[in-house]
Amino acid sequence: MRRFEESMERELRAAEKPLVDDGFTEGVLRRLPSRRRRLEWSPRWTLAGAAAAGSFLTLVLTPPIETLWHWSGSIAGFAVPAPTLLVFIVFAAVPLVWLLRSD
Amino acid sequence: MTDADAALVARVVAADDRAAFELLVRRHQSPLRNFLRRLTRGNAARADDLAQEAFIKAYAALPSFRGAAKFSSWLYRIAYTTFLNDNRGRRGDETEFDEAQHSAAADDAAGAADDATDLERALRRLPVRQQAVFDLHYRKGMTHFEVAESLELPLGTVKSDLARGQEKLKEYLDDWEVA
Repeated sequence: MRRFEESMERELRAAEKPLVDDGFTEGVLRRLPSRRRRLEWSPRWTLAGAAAAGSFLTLVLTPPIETLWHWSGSIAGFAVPAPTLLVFIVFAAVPLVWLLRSD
Repeated sequence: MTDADAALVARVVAADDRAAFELLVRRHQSPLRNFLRRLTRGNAARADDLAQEAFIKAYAALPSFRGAAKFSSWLYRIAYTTFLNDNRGRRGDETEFDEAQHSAAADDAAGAADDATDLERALRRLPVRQQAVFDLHYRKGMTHFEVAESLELPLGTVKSDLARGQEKLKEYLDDWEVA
């Protein structure tokens, strides 16, 4: 059986003829999905959108901030308290900086 | 996985490097297409479609490839599963599909079209799984363990497939010599 196995192995390996590519690889590359780009961008924009929406809702709906917002808006834009401005800037800037750096 | 394959896989995973993936396809297309051509009994068009599908699936799944197995073993596993699923689909869709008839017709066509040796013709008479085991072990030089990994079979099944297959091949070849 061992001799049979050896001669079979020799014969089978010898019969393994290489196939010419003949456009096969190009065909595969044409059909590759653009999966990664979508996967990478989707969570980034989701996070950025969520941060922006969160900042907006905080400013508009939180009663003390809402009061300050309207009051400062009626007089001048600078009257918004510094902590509120800081929170807003941080929430808006962090995802933006992250987006720019990751590109 | 060879170092060269590992480096290319790393480039695809890290930076979606399509040039690296192209090199992987060029390197493995011929043995993979040959493997599928034998399983599809010489149907080159179907084998190439399945091979393309296998490479595309491999590309999509590369981020989950941990490199524990050789890239080629992993690729053959995808190709073999793709082939089996396609076979199941064909059986479901084509009510008139008859495996034995199909095999005989394909064997005749393949026999007429190529210069297959008696051994290769005898191999085509083995069940598909045994053909796959023989191909990977003898033609691709995989160890029993690698074959088991590639085809997702228990190691014992691979060994018994090889032993039983050899007995059948000897039988077929002896019959032909006598005839």
